[in-house]
Amino acid sequence: MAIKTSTFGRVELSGQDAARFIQHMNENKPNNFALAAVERAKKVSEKIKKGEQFTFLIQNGS
Amino acid sequence: MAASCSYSIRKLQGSDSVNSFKSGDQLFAPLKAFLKNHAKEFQYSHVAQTYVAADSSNKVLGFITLTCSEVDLRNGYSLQDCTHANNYDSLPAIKIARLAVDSRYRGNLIGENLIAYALSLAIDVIAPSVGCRFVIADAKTSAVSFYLKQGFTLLDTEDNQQRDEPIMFMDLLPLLD
Repeated sequence: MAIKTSTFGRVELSGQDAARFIQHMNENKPNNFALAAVERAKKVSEKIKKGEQFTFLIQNGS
Repeated sequence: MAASCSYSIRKLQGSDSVNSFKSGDQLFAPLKAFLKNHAKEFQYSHVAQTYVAADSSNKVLGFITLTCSEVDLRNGYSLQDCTHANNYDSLPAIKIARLAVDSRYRGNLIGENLIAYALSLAIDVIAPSVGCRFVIADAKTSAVSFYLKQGFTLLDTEDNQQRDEPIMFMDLLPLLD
């Protein structure tokens, strides 16, 4: 196997998997989802720092 | 009738109620078992930290467990911006070791907000203080689309895509620039 990983440990890549990962690293531009995730991370962090809560609606009986 | 439900995101506490957590599908049962039996121990021993979405009665609606990790590339990479790092086998990462939302509360952005908080820790705290290049996850196949929507990349090799828990990652460098 060219991939070894454990839940609480490292990820080990070799062969084609390492080569492809490196290609991702060197060539990938942030996609729109990643950019949106960073924006959401900022908002969530700010909310937590202010001690604010997150709210959603739930159907009664759930 | 719909009712409003509020929660905060914070570290797991000893008083948190985890027994009522419903994982839903049997596939996710190990996640509940971890929360119930091991999360506090991992936290106490600083092996991993668990952050929860908890309501006002300390009932856990969802949780994410993070640990230090690394991506070992067998020294095959080449960083243009840090050539000395090319002498080392691995690059530092934060691993999402566990992520689960109570099945009764899914679809309310709890998982998304927990990921966002993990990302904010990586970007605002960990990367600038000790260095961290990636956030990584061994995603369950059923969660791959969820992680893609959170900005993660699936390592698209045949080996990885055939795994029960394919590796997904987010490279922080282009996001920090």
